[in-house]
Amino acid sequence: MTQKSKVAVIGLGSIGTVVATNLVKGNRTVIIADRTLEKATELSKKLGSLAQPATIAAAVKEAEIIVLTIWFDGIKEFFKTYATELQGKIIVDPSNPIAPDEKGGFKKIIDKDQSSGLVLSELLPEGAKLAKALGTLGAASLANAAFRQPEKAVEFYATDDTSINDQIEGLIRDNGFEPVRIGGIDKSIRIEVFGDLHEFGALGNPVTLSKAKQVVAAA
Amino acid sequence: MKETLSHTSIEPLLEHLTKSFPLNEKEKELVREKFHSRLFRKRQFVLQEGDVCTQFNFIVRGCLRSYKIDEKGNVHILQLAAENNWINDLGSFHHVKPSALNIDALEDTVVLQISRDDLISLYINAPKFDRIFRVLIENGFIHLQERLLQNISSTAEERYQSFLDLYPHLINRLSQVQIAAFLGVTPEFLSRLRNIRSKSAKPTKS
Ligand SMILES: NC(=O)c1ccc[n+]([C@@H]2O[C@H](COP(=O)([O-])OP(=O)(O)OC[C@H]3O[C@@H](n4cnc5c(N)ncnc54)[C@H](OP(=O)(O)O)[C@@H]3O)[C@@H](O)[C@H]2O)c1
Repeated sequence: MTQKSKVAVIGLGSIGTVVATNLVKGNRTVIIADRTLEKATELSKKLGSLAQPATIAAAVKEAEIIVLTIWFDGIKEFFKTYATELQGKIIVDPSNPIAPDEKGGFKKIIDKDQSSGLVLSELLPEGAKLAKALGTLGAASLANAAFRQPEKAVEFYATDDTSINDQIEGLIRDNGFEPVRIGGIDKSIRIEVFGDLHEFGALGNPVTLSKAKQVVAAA
Repeated sequence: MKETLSHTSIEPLLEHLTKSFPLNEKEKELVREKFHSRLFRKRQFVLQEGDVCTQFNFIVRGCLRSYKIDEKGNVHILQLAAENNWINDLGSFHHVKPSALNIDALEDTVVLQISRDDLISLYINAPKFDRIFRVLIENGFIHLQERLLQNISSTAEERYQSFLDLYPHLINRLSQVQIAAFLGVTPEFLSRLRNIRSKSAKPTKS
């Protein structure tokens, strides 16, 4: 077996913390980074030696797979700031293009027939590869439904470059979920918020592999 | 555009509508255009007392309640609505006046909303929606009549039984406090009621 690709989680908020925690549970080494090294160091104390705190620059340099658990607009900025350093890297985008509106809820901040995956794929730094993944469940379910027994819950993903599928599937498995590819990045809308396969969309809940296959095929 | 939108939370609404009224492509397109998705996290307000109810809400996933808080701070739930259900303050919506109700989320909830102007434009541009919404409102009215009648003529136990019959999908999702506020009893009373029922339901030894 080949060695697993080095993975970094950048942005240690609700989702980033869960992804890093899941990976440690899945016995995978993970580099963790946020705006400050202190925040990463603090989390690493909780997670143990598999979680290695780093600065953002060091994380980007070290890792082959970079999970950007920051908001959609932040990812756009990130692509600009680290355009050169991201060459050759696999970027995992969990973002949902929503923001609080003035009326108490959240609404989409791009057109309703657009996806953040597709928007980001157009802004992707040259030489980088993109996967839409790890954003289909809310933070609570991403934590609670991980490593489910006896049957694992599914995390959907989308990629244009299929040569990275194995690495993305490994990442999802080490997060405690069963990976299901729904197609290219142009299918991202299905696995983003309000999509037919999102927990906060038509699907409503984490599902098992057999149910996932049914709903993916039915559409 | 159609291709991608057909993979969103609009679909459950189209399914819900077409069950009773087959829609043609043009009408489906109008639904896709006029309804907008919103996410409310648990405890967020969809409507607050004193504001005008500007949207008709269809629930894709989750659960909302409409309620009033009296002067003593007691919560009175008027309606509970989960998947494939509608909720709003009809008086405030149509008369464009401040609402006496609050609507908030008991779970993370995805709704599809249509504004008053858009709903009226639907009625004008596609008369089938006039019929669809007439039936939806009739159903809501019937439901409210039954609930009102029950409140003035049935015992708390009968109301609880009817809650169990009508909302089997919600029993494990709602707290006893919410169910009590819906039935118009105190949580202590509901707890006693449940105790009595579970004792009398125990199988007798033969
Ligand atoms: N929460 C969910 O249930 C959920 C579900 C699915 C997908 N998502 C997606 O996951 C992403 C993160 O969401 P979240 O809820 O975890 O947000 P969050 O709790 O606000 O966490 C974001 C974290 O990233 C940090 N950060 C922001 N910009 C950064 C940058 N340029 N470099 C390094 N760190 C940065 C933030 O620091 P500061 O606080 O200092 O800004 C914060 O610690 C979003 O794209 C969201 O759409 C969230």
